[in-house]
Amino acid sequence: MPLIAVAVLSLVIGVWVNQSIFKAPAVVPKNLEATLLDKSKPLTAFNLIDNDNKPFNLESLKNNWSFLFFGYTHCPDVCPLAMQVMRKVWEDERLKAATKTNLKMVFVSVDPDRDTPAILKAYAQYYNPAFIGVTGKADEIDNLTRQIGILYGFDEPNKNGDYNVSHSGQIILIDPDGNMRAVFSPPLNPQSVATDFIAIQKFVKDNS
Amino acid sequence: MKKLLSRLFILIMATNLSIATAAAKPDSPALSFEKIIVPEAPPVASVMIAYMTIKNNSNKKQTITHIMSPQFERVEIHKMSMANGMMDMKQMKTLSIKPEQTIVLETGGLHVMLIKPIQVLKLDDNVEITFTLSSGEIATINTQVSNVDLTNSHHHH
Repeated sequence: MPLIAVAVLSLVIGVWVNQSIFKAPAVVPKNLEATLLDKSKPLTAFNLIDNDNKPFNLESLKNNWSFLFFGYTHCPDVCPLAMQVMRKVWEDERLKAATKTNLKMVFVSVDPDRDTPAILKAYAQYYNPAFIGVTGKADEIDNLTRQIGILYGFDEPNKNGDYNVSHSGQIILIDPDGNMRAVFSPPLNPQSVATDFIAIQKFVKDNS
Repeated sequence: MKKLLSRLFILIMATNLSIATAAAKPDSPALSFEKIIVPEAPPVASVMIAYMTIKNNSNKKQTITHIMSPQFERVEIHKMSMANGMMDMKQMKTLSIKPEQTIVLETGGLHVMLIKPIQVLKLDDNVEITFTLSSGEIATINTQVSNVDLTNSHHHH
């Protein structure tokens, strides 16, 4: 009889300890339009400059969530659409608190020859005064795009010296530890992006 | 009988008049343009864009061979497509529209690219675009820069 009592007590204590110390893993959010990465992908160091000529590096992505879009200001179609999506996500009522504290919207130009910091500032801030334009040397842009899986390529200039840049159309989500967390692919719906972002934030918080 | 002939004469004259009127009427334009949108762009933008639907009203293929606008240095037709995981944009030298066909120029597909504004265009500024067809016909459209929500994919339908 005492042996049974000890066994039952051990079981109860064991269950309590297990529940107290080892939290059940958070459930992966369902019905996401975004691609949530199986494992968060930590980014390594990179060195770009922002639209105020200040360094923009891995530390700039820490302590806040960041949406990154890669394009160029001469882009007539894909980039304005993506920037409008980011503006509507930013203006989503559900994210009002986040925009004041821990959210960054970043437009990374892969065309540094034409997109100077001054041009990038006017371009990004046209969509929202809080938006940030970023660019840098080609090898440092490549350093970041390779880590994230963004593709881009330059067409041959025409007789006027103008050229188009082909590029990926995805918006990338980086978490406050500098990990790549999710990819939003076209066609981009601002409401879905905001909804997914809220779910992913909760998932990451519950899992930390 | 005389009365009948008289009526017949009037009828014939009226029919002739009607045919003559139709012949004197200028041909209706081969192309009609609807739902024209030129979205506002950042003031530093070196390119703007025009979306629209173009309908070929004729029973012949119509080909746009040249486009110009007094507000821009150059105007071109471009087509977006996905290639190797990237959005790629190619200039089209001409744009042909089959008889009675309507084509839609919209985000992610065909668009009229307005290159290098002569001066910065703001909301409600006028934009004039002139299309020249291979037949020699010229069509001019006028619109204003508008604040349009591009995220609504079929915004101009």
